[in-house]
Amino acid sequence: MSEPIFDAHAHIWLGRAAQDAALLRRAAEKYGISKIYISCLGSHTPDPAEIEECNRQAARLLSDPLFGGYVTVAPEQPGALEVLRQGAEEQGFSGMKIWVSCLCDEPCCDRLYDYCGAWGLPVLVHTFAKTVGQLAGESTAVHLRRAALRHPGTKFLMAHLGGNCYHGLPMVRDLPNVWVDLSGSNCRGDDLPYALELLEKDRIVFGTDMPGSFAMSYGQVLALPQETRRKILWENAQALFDGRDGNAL
Amino acid sequence: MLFDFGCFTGHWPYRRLRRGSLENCRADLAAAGVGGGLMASLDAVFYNDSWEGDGPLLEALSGTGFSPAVCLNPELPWWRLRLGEAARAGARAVRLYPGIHGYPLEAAEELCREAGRLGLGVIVTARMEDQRLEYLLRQAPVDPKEAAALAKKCPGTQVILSNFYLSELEGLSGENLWADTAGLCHGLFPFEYLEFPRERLLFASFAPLQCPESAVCNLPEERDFLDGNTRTYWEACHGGIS
Repeated sequence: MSEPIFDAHAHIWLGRAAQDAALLRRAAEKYGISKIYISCLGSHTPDPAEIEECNRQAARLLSDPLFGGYVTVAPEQPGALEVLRQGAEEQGFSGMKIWVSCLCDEPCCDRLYDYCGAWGLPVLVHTFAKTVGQLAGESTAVHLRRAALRHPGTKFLMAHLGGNCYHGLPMVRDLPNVWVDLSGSNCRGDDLPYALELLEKDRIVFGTDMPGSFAMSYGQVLALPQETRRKILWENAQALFDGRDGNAL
Repeated sequence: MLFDFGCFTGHWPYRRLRRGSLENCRADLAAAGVGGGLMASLDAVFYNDSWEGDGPLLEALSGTGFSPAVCLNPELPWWRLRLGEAARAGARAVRLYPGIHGYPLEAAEELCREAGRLGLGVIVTARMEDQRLEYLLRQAPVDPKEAAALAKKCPGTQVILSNFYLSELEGLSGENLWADTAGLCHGLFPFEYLEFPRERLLFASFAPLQCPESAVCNLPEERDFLDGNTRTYWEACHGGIS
C-alpha cells in the first residue's frame, strides 16, 4: 500500500489507555498509518469526573504527531460546553465525539454543534441501527439526520456507516455536511461498495475502531481503484479536518 | 493461493448480498488470492430440505477448484439419505448450523461419525453474522467446548470450528480438531494472542458475508503454515490432495 493512511476513528479505553496506545502505534508501523484520530471512552453513561479523566488520557497522546483527537463529551451534562471549549482551546483536540450517553438530536446538543460549527471542528457521532440491544442513548442515522439538518454549518462524521449501512446511508445521502466512516467489526462484505454507489466518494472516510477492529474496514479499501482508495484513506479526512494538525502532505 | 475452508454463495434473508452469485463469489475470492475452497450454499441453510440448495451447488461447483460443504440438520429424518447422496456426488464436508437450526451438538454425534466414515469433514458454525444485526431468527450461542467434545467423541472425523472468536478458542485442542480464521478478524494482531494450536488453523474468509480481503489482510506476514495445515487436514480427511 503506497498511499498514506488517515484513520479517523480509533479509541483508547479508560483503564487501558497506555496498552491501547501501544497497540495503535504498532498498527501504525505495520500498516503504514500516518495519522490516527482517537477518542477515549469508558462507561456508557459517564459522570463528569470520568469524562474529565477520559479527555486527560487522550490529550496526553496528542504531543505525538501520530495522534489527533476528539474531545469526548456527554452533551446532557451542564458542563459539556466547557468540556468542549477546554478540549478544543487548551488540550489540543480537533473534533468532538458523542457516544451513547444521549441521542445526538437532543436539544442539549445544539449549543455544542454551534460551537463546533463556529470553530470548524468535526463531530464524530457513534451511530448504530441494531436489531438487538439498542441502547437508550444510542443514535441512529435518523437522529443524526435531524441534527445535521438543524446545523448545516457543522460537519458531522457518521460512524460505522450508520451501523447498518442499508438503513443509515440513505438517511444522509442528501446532506453535504455529513461524512461517513467505515469503522467497526460490523463492516460487512459489500458495505463499502454500497456506500460508494450511494454517496459521492468524497464523503467516505477511512476509520477502523481500533483497537477493537481493523481488518474488517481495511480489507474493504484494499480492493478499490487507486484514486478512490486515496480519497477514502487520506484526502477526504484532510478535507473534513481542514488540514489541521499538520496533516498536509 | 489460499484454500478457503469457509466461503459461501447464494442469498441471505436479512439483507441483499450484492456479490452473492457463484460467479461473483469466485471472482471476488480469486481477486483476494483464494484459489479454491469448501463452499456452502446460504440458501440451503433456510430451506426445509437443504438439498434443494445443495444439489444445484454440487453441480455448479464441478471442476471449479471449490468443493461443496453441504448443510445438514441432524434432527431432520432425512439427514442420512442426504449425507450419502452428498458423499456420492463429491461433497467434501458437512457444515452444521446448530445456532440457527436450534439443536444441541450432542444431537449431531451420529451424523458426525457417519460423515467421517464417508470421508467428509464436519464444520461447526458458531455464528453467521454480528449478532447485533440479527433479525427474526436469533442465533443461539454455540458452546465451543461442546464442539470440541463432539470432535473427541468422533475421532474418525475431522471437525472444524468455524467463525469462533479468539477468546472462544482459548485452551481448545484435539487430534481431529481444527479452527478456521474467520472469527479472528477482530481486534489487532489476533494471531499473537491466539491460544489454539497454530498447526490446526485453516483459512476461511466467510465471503460474501464478510469481505475476503479483510480475512486475507488480517493474516500474519508469515502465512505459509496455512498451506501446510491445509495439506495435513486434507491428508487426514481425504487421504491426500486430489
